[in-house]
Amino acid sequence: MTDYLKIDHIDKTFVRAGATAEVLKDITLGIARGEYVSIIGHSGCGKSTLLNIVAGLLPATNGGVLLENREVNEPGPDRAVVFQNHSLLPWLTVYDNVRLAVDKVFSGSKSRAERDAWTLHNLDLVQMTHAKDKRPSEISGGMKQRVGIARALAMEPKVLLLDEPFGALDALTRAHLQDSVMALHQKLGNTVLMITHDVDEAVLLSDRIVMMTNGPSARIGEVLDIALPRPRRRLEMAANPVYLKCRQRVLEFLYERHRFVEAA
Amino acid sequence: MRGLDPIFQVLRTVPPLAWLPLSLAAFRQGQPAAIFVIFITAIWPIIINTAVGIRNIPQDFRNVAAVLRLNHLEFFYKIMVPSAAPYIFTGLRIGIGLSWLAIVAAEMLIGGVGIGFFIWDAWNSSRISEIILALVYVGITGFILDRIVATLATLVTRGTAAN
Repeated sequence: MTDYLKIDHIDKTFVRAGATAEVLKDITLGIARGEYVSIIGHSGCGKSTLLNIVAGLLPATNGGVLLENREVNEPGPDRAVVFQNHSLLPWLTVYDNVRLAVDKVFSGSKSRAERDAWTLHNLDLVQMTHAKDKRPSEISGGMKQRVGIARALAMEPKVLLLDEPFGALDALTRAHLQDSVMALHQKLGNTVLMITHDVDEAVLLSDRIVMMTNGPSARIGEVLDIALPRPRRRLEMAANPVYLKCRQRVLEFLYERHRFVEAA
Repeated sequence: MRGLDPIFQVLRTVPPLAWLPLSLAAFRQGQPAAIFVIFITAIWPIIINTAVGIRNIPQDFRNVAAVLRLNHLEFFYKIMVPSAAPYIFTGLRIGIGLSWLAIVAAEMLIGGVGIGFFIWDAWNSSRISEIILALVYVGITGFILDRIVATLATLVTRGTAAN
């Protein structure tokens, strides 16, 4: 299997005021087209750093990222990011936030009317058409995140990068949005790389879970395949033996073998 | 900007009226000299606040711009200006307050016209009640000017400016 997205022997070392801190050590990971991969690990283990390297927002110290066998080392709309805190521009309406991305990515290939239709189509995918003329400050946290997802999807990215997309949401909204993301993944077949610290979320959504050891010098500790058929239903999963076993494996990894040691 | 900051901070602390003799020497006329004093008084808070606003563009917005590959011009119009606008308007509000202050003070010294001269003239002819009336007038005008800029800020920044 040739990997669609390949993270190849990445090291990341931060140097600040003469002190060096090795955050990531020798991270190698291949992701197939259409696959949904989650990266889970304790806080501070470098998950977000890894995502930022894939997004091109941070340079890797060693190693590189290959997308369709071509090296990527700067940010671009082919790797759209859904940020943890939505990062919508507060002075633009919901529609304009998505339209900004659409206009930038499709300025040469789509006419005005097509771009308008494409923007509305993506808002429709996340069920946010009703709020298209509202500003981010006027909608709820879950809705903002939906718009963030619409903006990312509208770029037609090769890989969708989700940086703890549900982290700032309450449990009910989170569940609802997870179901939406699952349905979107089913429908559009995107390749997704998601950062999370929620075990249930990782098991429910992913095809594979990458578990990272604690930093400094975090490595990939274990990779777990989730052999659950799709579509997955939240309620059925609660009693599914495969689901429970996977969940158990991740919990063991996180809380027995790699307990989070609070840094002094 | 960081290198220029000490220069701004020093120039900012020079009192408005201290500029007046220099300004009069340069322009040799009351009117343009007064305008220069108003300018040099009001410009610093506007510059400093604008710089702070640009420095404080959230990293998230920079990341969005990077992912979208906005070029410099697009970044300027679509991220930098709207993001810094609340700070710029804060600078304008301080600036307009200071310039009103400078106007009144400059008029006192230059003489001939304006509310500043009116106050000084009233003092010279011992009309204390007129001075008090003028002070109320100056205060209310300053307040109205501030409100106008604040309203403008809310309109332009579409409510994202902190009032």
